[in-house]
Amino acid sequence: MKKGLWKYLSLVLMVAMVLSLVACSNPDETSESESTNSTVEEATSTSEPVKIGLVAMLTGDNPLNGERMQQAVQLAIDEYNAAGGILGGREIELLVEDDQTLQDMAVTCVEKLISEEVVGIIGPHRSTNALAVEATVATAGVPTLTGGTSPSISELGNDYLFRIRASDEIFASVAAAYAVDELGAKKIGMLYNSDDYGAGAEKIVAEYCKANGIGYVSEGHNTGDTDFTAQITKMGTEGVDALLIWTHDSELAIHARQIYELGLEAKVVSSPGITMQQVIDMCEPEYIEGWQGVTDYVFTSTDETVQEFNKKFSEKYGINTELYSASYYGAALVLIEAIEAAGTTDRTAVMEALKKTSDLSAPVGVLECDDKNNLVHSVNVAEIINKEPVFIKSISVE
Amino acid sequence: MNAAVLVQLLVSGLAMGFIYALVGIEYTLVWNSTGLLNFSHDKLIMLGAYLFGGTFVLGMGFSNPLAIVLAFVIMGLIGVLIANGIFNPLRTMQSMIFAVMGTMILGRIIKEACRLIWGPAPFAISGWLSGNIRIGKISISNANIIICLVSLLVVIGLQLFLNFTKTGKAMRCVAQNKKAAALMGINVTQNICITTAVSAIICSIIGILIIPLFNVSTTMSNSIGLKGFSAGVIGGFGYLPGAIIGGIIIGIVENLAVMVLPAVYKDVVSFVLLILFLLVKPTGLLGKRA
Repeated sequence: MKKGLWKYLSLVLMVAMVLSLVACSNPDETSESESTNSTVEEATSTSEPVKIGLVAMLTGDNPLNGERMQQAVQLAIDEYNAAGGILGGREIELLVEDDQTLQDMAVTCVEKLISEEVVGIIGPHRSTNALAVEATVATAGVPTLTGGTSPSISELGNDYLFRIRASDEIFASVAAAYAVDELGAKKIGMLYNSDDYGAGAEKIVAEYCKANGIGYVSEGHNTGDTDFTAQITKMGTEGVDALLIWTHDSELAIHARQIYELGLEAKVVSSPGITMQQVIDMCEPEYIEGWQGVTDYVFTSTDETVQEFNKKFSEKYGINTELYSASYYGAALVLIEAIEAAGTTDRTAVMEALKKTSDLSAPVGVLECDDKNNLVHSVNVAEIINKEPVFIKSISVE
Repeated sequence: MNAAVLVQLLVSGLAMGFIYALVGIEYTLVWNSTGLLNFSHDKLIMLGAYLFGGTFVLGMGFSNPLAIVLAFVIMGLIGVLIANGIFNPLRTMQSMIFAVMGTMILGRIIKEACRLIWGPAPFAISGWLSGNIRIGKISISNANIIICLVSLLVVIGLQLFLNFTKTGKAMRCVAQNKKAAALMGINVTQNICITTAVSAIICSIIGILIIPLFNVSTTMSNSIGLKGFSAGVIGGFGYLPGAIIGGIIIGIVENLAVMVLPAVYKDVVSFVLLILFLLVKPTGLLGKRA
C-alpha cells in the first residue's frame, strides 16, 4: 500500500543533492556588469571610497559570531571615517558577504569581493574556509586576514594570507603548561572535538604530557553530540586531577552541565569558548565556577587598549566585547593602517605594508607580523568567577 | 568499567531512547496519514523549544505550565497551517517530490526565521528541569527522569486517543486506506490537518523536554532528527510501537557501545545499526509491511 522504503531512501538522496545545489546557487553570484577591466590603481581618484571586503558568517550555523565580526569591523571603519578617512581624505567603504560558514560559499564571497575591487579582505573566519579561499586570494593577490587558528595555515607560505589570532598550537600548549605548572596537575584528562580543531590540540597536549612525564588520558566527541556521560564518567574512573576541554560553543556548555551533574572533581582548563558570553549564558553559575580558559581576549583585562575598545563597542552596540569582535576589530585596524602606510590602494603594496606591521596596539595584544604572516603572539588566561571571565594573566609565546 | 558506570550509561541511554522514540512517533503519524515524510520535523522541534523558552518564558515571563500550554496551542495551529499549505494541496500531485521539497524548504525557512526572531545566540532556560538525584556513585539528572515519564505518558495517551476516540479511529482509518476512509464519510483533508497538528504538538513536547540537555539553538535538533528516522526504520517503518522500540534500542545501544569503543564512534554505531537493518531486515523489528 505504501510506496517502498527503497524508493523513499533514493528520494531522500536526490533531495539532498538538490539541496546542495540550492546552497550553491546563492544570490552572491559575481555580477557581470561590475567585472570591468579597470585595475585598482586606475580607480585612485581622491573622491572614490577605499573598499574593504568582509566575509563573515551572518547566517547558517554560527550567525552570532559573524554578527560580532561585522559590528567590530564597522566600528573601526566608522572611527577612521569620522576622523577624516584615509589616504588624504578618502572614505572607507565596507562590502560585506555572507559565507554561512560554508567552504564553497567562502570562495564565492571572496571572488565577488575581488571583482568589486576591494583593497583587502577580512575573513573568512574558520580555518577550513581560510584554506578553501587560500589559492583564490593568492592568485588575485588580495591581502586577506583570517581568524582561522589551524597550524596548517602558516605552513602554506601564502604571502597574501595573514592570521589575526594566535595559532592553536599556542593555545593548546599554554593550556597544558598552565594545568601542570599553575594548577599542579599530575594526571591530565582531555575531552576533545574530533574535528581538525580539537584533534590538533589533543595531539599537542598528548606530546606535552609525554615529554613531561604527566599521566594522560583522552576521549573524543563529534560536533553536534549532546551526551557526554560516557566520556566524563571515564575521566572520573581514570582519576584525572585536571581536565582540558577542547570543543565548540554548544558542546562546551553541555559539557559544563554534565560535568557538574556527574560530580567530576577536577580543575578545568577550557578552549577559548568558555570566556564567551554566549557560552557563559547557557550555564548555571555553579557549573563553571572556577573554570579557567585560555583565550585571545578577556574584556575584563586591565589593559588600556582593551578597556577603551570595550567601552566604545558597548556604547555603540550595548554588549560587551568578546574574541570575535576583538580579533576582527584588530584585523580592521591592521589592514587600514597598512593601506595608509602603503599610501596607495595597490594590493601588493598593502600586502608588503602588512608584512612590516610591528608594535601596533590592538585589543588582542600588540600586533607584529612574523615571517609566517602571524600577527598575534600572546594568549590570555581567564578564570570564571560568578559568570564573569576574570583576567588572570597574559602569556606571550615566541 | 564498573557496574555504576553501566547503570549511568543505561539511564542516559534510556532517556535519549525515549526522545528518539517520540521523534519516530511524530513523523510516523504524518507518514501514515499523508504517505509523506515531513522533512521539517526536526525544525518544528526546535521551533517548539524557541516558542516555549524564547517567547513565553524568557520573553513574556509566563509561568512554565502556561508557557507549555501556549506553545502547544501555537504549534498545533502551525501544524494545521502546514497541512493546509503543503500536505493537502501537494499530496495529490503526480510526484511526492513536490510535497517533500515543500517540507524541506519549510525547514530552512523555520531555521532562519528563528534566527531572525530570537537572535543567533543559543540560550538556556535557567532552572527548567535542572538538578539531579544521586544514588551512591550514580547521578541521574531530573531531566532524564522527566523525559522518560513524559514520553511514557505521551505514548499511552496517544494509544488511548487512537483507539478510543472517534477522531483517533478516523486517523487510523485514513492511515490504512484513504479512499475507503473517504467513502466511509471521513473527511480526509480535515483528518490530515488534525494529524499534522498532533504531530506538531509532539514536536513541541520533544523540543521542550530537550532544552535542559541541548539548550535552545538553531542546531539543537539536527542529530535527533536523523536518529529518530533510524528509530522508525529499526523498529518497523510506519508502525508506532516499532518507532518506540527502535528509539529505545538506538538510545541504549549507542550509549553502551562507548564502553567498548572510543566514545567518538557513538553516532557510527547508530547508523551502522540502521544500515544493517536496511540490508538484513528492511521491515524492521516489528514491521509487518514491506
